[in-house]
Amino acid sequence: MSAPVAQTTGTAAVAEAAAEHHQGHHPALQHHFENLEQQADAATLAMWLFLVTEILLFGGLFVGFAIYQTWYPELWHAAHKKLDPVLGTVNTVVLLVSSFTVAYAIRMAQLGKQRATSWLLGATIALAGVFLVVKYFEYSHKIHEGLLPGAAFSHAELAAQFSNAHVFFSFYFLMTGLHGLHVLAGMIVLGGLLWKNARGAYSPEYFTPLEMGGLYWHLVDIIWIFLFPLFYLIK
Amino acid sequence: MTDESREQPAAPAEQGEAAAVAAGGMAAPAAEAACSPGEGAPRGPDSAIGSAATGGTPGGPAPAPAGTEDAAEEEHSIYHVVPGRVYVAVLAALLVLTAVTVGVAQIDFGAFNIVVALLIAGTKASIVALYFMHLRWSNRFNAIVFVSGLLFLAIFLAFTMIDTETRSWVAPEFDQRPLVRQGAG
Amino acid sequence: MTTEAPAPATAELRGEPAPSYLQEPRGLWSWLTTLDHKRIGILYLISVTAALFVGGLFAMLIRLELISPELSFFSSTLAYNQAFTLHGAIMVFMFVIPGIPAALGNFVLPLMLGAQDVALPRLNLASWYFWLAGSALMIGAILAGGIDTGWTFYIPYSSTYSREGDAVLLALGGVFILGFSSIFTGLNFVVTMHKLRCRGMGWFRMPLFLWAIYATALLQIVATPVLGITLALAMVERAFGVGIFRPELGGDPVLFQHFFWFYSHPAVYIMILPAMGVISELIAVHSHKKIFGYRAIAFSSLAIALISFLVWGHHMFTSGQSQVAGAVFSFLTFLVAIPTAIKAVNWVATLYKGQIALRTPMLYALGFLFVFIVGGLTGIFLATVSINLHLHDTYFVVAHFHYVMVGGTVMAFLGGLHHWWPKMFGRMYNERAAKLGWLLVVGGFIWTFLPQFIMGSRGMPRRYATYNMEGLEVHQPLHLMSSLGAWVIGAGMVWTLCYLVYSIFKGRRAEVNPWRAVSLEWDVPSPPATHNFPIDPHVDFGPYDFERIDEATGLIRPGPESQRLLAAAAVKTLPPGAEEENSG
Ligand code: HEM
Ligand SMILES: [Cu+2]
Repeated sequence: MSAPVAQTTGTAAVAEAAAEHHQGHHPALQHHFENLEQQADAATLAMWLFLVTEILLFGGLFVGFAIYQTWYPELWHAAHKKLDPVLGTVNTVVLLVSSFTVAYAIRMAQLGKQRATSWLLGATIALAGVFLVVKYFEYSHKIHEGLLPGAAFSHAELAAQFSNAHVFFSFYFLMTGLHGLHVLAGMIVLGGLLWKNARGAYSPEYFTPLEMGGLYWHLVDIIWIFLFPLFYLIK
Repeated sequence: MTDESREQPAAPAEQGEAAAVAAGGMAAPAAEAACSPGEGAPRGPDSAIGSAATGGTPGGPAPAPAGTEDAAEEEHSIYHVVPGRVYVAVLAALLVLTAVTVGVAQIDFGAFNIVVALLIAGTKASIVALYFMHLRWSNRFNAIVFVSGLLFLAIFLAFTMIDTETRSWVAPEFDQRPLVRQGAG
Repeated sequence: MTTEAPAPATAELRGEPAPSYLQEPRGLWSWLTTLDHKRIGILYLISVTAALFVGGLFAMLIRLELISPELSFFSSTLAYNQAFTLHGAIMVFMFVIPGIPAALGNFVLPLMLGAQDVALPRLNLASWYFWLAGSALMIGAILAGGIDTGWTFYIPYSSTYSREGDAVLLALGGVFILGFSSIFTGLNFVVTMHKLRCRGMGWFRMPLFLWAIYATALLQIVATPVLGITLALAMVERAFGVGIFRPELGGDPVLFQHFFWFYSHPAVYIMILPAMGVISELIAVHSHKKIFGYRAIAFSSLAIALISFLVWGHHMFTSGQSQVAGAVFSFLTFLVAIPTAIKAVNWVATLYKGQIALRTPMLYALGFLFVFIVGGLTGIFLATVSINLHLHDTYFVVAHFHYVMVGGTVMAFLGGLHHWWPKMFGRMYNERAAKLGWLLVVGGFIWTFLPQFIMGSRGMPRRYATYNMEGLEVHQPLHLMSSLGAWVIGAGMVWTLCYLVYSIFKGRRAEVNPWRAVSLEWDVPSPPATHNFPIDPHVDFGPYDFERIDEATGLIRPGPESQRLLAAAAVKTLPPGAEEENSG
């Protein structure tokens, strides 16, 4: 059909000549962006918005936790003693260090040090693995003792004191479990980034995916920063 | 946002563009200068779209070369390179605060136990956000986004507690907590 | 990714038309893998329309049952419960929430901004696939025996009493996924509006539809994750016997309602804010007058979004929530009326002395004004605790929310569809057929739902399959009337579908700017080319500066600066060598 050339009327003005539009730009630049910086800006904003959705997703559990804690402080106090603060502290340190390594990996990418980036990403993934292994031991211990959510709860001593002790462990398993899933997802994401980095996908001009993966990983760390005192240290 | 309501500062941008076309490209810092940063929105409509000059630079903005990191302190972009010692210091601070929170947990502040614990956790989280997540150097709107997320969470908690903490006000003889059957499990 | 980006059609600069987005690239596969926001908008349009008709089918079944006070049409009350649950869940989560933003918004948003696409095209496509996946699980839930929990999934219905446990899990999972689809859309739009406005497109040069979409997107981003965690918790409560909400395990079912309505009250504004945005466009364009109170309308969208987070407890006045909370939530709910009224007043002021053209989109806008205001005002009744105790869970509530969701959102959806139809498909529908459709939809709507206000205020409870007890039989005539009206709406919807689809093939070709509007989507061909704008646009006028229209051609007159730059572009895109010819 012969549509009139309306575009060239009212709105028309030129940022770039159309013929130049697709010349000489970075292969990672998408067609609807002007340049890589604008693209990176957009990705960063999108990531922060995504992190907000994560905060509110976890937030529901934090809200429930806080309400039950104010309702049943005695239960919370008694139940938290069943958690091992040493393992909790170890995992906190592990995650903090992993945040450091991923931040440093991005710094190395910014400086064009591809191998160092790979090593640091690898270290981050390894630390995430350590975190999950520690979690595995914690979980199996809880399961062994019957400190389980909901109907599965069977810890005789706590059950004798509180008829709803299972609620604490529901929160424990749900919150650390959801966090654990995020750690797992983070390992996959970081693994993908490592693979692409090893193949030279990133450079000082273009490392947006690394930055995004890093932001996500730091949020996982931040959530643990709150989970740790709430579960392991509360009096 | 009001400052953005004006038309984009078209003249400098277009001059920049003309120059870019003429010179076959223009360094990123110059383009940034052409588009003065506004509150919460560093350039153009939050982006380089207003500063068409950068579009002429193949491969995007020039990365800060190694060694000049500190000079780039003011740059608002993910291209900002944070000095390595900053990261080391941040990690050290985080580890120290972890030790503090564990230590403090041995002391009983009564009702303030949780406040203290959350204050320390909040400090740690802020450090991570500001430095590891580069909020300090990032577009200010990203920080607004992050903080408003926390604000809405606070609304969620506060307004739910208006109910859960006041159920016994009108009928004090009732326990405001959900009923728990004896021996339930 | 540059592969899908066609080189901007420089030919267009020389006056040759580029193939439209509907033509190029070809084949079903190219549609299923498209990253073009216009195509994704069309995919969404088809999908949500399908959902509308499936949900409508359940509505017709419900109305059939209610003609008589005894159980007549359904084999059991369980089947009836399943019908209204599926009606509600399909309509809310699969049609009304994605309807305007994902279908119409996807199509026009980048065009209105002067952008070549949304910021995250792949996420946009993912959103549609998430919609499909979530909907597939909902269909799975129907096949697995159906759900009878109500669209709100209240505990303990969903955790304990619902008979079809697997179906409940499937439906919860489906809505969980639909929630992510909604988040992706909203997130994408916020980023696009922040980062991809074209040159000259300041925040206050955006059409008001985009302000509404922006406010909606904020709600989608902040509220929807809470729905996600709520449904996830309902799933583990059902599947693993977790007892945070389940009363028989020491949980608090009222807490579930807090969680649910923390999302679902903002969600009603996810449904209505885009509709309000559409109405702002329709009223300004079809009365050819600059909108009255641009900033007031723009900021009232944000105000509504903000306040909507503080009022959710008005759904829980009778649920066991504390009286203190009831009083607080009641008071805050009244506040919503202020920004809503600001909008209504500004719309009416825009109409005043405008060149009102009673074309179909304008008719829908007027219908919206009348009907939605009734819906909103009855909301104020319901927000009054003492009155709510009487009206809660009656047909009054049913009428209220249908007045806002059908009278508001569906009406605006249809109005917007008729408004942008020529742009989407390059064809005009038959105006007379459309007016008949409008008459059937609006007339049928009032016929169906006005009686429900009366029944409700006289005590007819909602969600009852039978009403042959306690004197409720007296409502039978009004129920009959309501059921008859439902057929009229149904006929109107089918009729609308028919003439619209017909117009795609046989309709008169649409001009570039049939309504003489000034926003950028009316400055590209109808239908637009695959690549939105051959050169990145520049605007130096507001979205309602109708004096910029050249009344002879219907096109927007370029400003002096645009003309100069345009000439420069035309020169630069000519092949090398042609330049001298041109200038010499
Ligand atoms: C001025 C604005 C509004 C006010 C003050 C208001 C108030 C209320 C109140 C108090 C209820 C609870 C009734 C009850 O269950 O006892 C209610 C129910 C409802 N409202 Fe509104 N409303 C308003 C606008 C809207 C809009 C714009 C929509 C959707 C587009 C909407 C959708 C609903 C729905 C779906 C329900 C019923 C939920 C259910 O129980 O199934 N409302 N409204
Ligand atoms: Cu509500």
